[in-house]
Amino acid sequence: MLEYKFLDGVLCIRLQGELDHSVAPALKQEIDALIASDRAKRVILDLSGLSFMDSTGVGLVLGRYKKLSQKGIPLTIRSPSSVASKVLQVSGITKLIQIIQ
Amino acid sequence: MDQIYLKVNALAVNESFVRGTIASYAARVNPTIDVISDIKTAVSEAVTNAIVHAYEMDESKEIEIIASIDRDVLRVEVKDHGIGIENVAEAMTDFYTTKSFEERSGLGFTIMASFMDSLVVASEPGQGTSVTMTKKLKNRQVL
Repeated sequence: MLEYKFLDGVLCIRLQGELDHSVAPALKQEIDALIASDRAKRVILDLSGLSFMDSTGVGLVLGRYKKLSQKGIPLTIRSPSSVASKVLQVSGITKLIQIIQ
Repeated sequence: MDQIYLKVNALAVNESFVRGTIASYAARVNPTIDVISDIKTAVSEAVTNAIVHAYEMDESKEIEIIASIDRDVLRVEVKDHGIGIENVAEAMTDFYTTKSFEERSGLGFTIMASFMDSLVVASEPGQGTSVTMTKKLKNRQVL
């Protein structure tokens, strides 16, 4: 469900599969542990591998965004799948968080 | 009458089971992948609401799902017998949530409304909530 790599201070986290309320709590813990390691100056969340995402996923992204903002660390979403992209658009999150392809 | 009826326990793992089942049911009239995807998301939101809000994660409780297809229109009702909603209009407001500490986004109803063609929410505090959504599965082809 989650892969990550640190490269030159950039933490890149790639999520895969179906992101819903049944997997979100464990994922949040994993991501937060990576963030807490304080090695990242910037975080990229790659959502290209998501085959499903609902508003629980929006909550996960927003929650991480808030945590990172408090530390002054920018968060970027990369290449959301079409399913993730539509939910992100409707949520308005795209006005808050930068999305790159 | 073409109808299916599901009754599942309020388990988080049933979210994917229910949305997958409804998607398979709708697939019999060959909708586009985008239409199927919208249905899955909306159904997932309704089932998640029942689990998280109506039953507050009490896995012994049950959720009923009734789906039917009538002339290319899918109708899905997701029904619980949980705590109910005091003020439905307020609950349907974008970003309104009673569980912000759990990082709920408050967008469940917003997504159901925008991904489906119609959304009706009926609720009685202490009795439960019923969410009924419809979606046109196919645009008629002009020959």
